[in-house]
Amino acid sequence: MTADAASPDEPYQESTDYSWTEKAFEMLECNDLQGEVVVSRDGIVSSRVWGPCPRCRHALDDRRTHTAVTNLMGGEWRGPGGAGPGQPGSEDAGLAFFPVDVSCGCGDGHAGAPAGTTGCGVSFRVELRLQPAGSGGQP
Amino acid sequence: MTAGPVRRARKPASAPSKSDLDERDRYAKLTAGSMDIVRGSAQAWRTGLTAFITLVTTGVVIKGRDTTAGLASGWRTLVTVLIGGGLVLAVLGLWLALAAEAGTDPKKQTLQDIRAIHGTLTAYEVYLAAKAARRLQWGRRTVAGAVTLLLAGIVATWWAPAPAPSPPAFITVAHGHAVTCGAPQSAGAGQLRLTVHSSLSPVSIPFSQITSMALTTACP
Repeated sequence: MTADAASPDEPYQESTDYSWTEKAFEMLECNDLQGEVVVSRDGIVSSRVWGPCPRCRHALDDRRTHTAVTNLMGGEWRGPGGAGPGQPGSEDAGLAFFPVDVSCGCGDGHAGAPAGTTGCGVSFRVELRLQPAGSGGQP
Repeated sequence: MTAGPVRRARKPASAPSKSDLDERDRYAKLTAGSMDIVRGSAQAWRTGLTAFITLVTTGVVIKGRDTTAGLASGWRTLVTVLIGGGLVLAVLGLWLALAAEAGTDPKKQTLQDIRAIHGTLTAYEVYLAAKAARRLQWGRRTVAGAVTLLLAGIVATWWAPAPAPSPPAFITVAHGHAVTCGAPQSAGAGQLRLTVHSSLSPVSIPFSQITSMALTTACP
């Protein structure tokens, strides 16, 4: 299933097709979907992506923390997508962007969804500019 | 020339794979468990560091005063500084390890306060875990310093030279058919005066009667 087939109240179907990532990017560009990645003074990276799901259009609000204390001899480490402590995931023209993988967790019931599962099943990636805490809207 | 608007997002080169999503979910569990990981580690470290310190300080206490009492003044000062400094560092290090395990500075906070400062509750937990991990790291370093100082103090007692023997303070005088031992008081007017243990007043011995004299460190 691709973004062209998107419509509200779709039955549950797991999909990571690139078209959903493209659609999410278009929605971010026109402020339909919102997203932020914030790095705190302590170097802890957290993200929030909120707005309508690219597929089912139900409201989603995905909050994640991308830093964990994993190696007690070496301090804290960045999760998947991050290059390491204090290092952004990638650079583009001097600006650091951080990849965030989002799965629809809209909370609305979708036909055929496995028990205990929320969302319509679609997952997509957004790459958001890292910003220091307090520089804009806080997730 | 002015800079263009700052881009908030860019188009990803690829979509997330199934394994990317699995890894993301596993990492989320790791993030949420950061505090438990650090506190568990702090507990183990505190127990281990306490055993270290107990072992070393027990040796110091057992040898303690007997060892240092016979040291020259300079060496005794050095050993006191090393062992005293080691004990202070040991207490500080164990305090830091305990603080990492049990936490300090409890205060009331609302979820909104936490979100305003840290973004998410999990980010706050990671912040606390990172703080505890830093404390634990400093605790380990401090206890390592303490053990080093304590061991250096013990080694210093092995290498410290024996104190210089006391100079002879008594004199044994043979006069006539008698021998008198005592601390010299004065000599003059043809007489030597000694303070003798068995007599309250000084004993005077005429020089003319003295047949021999010898210095000694103690009287019989």
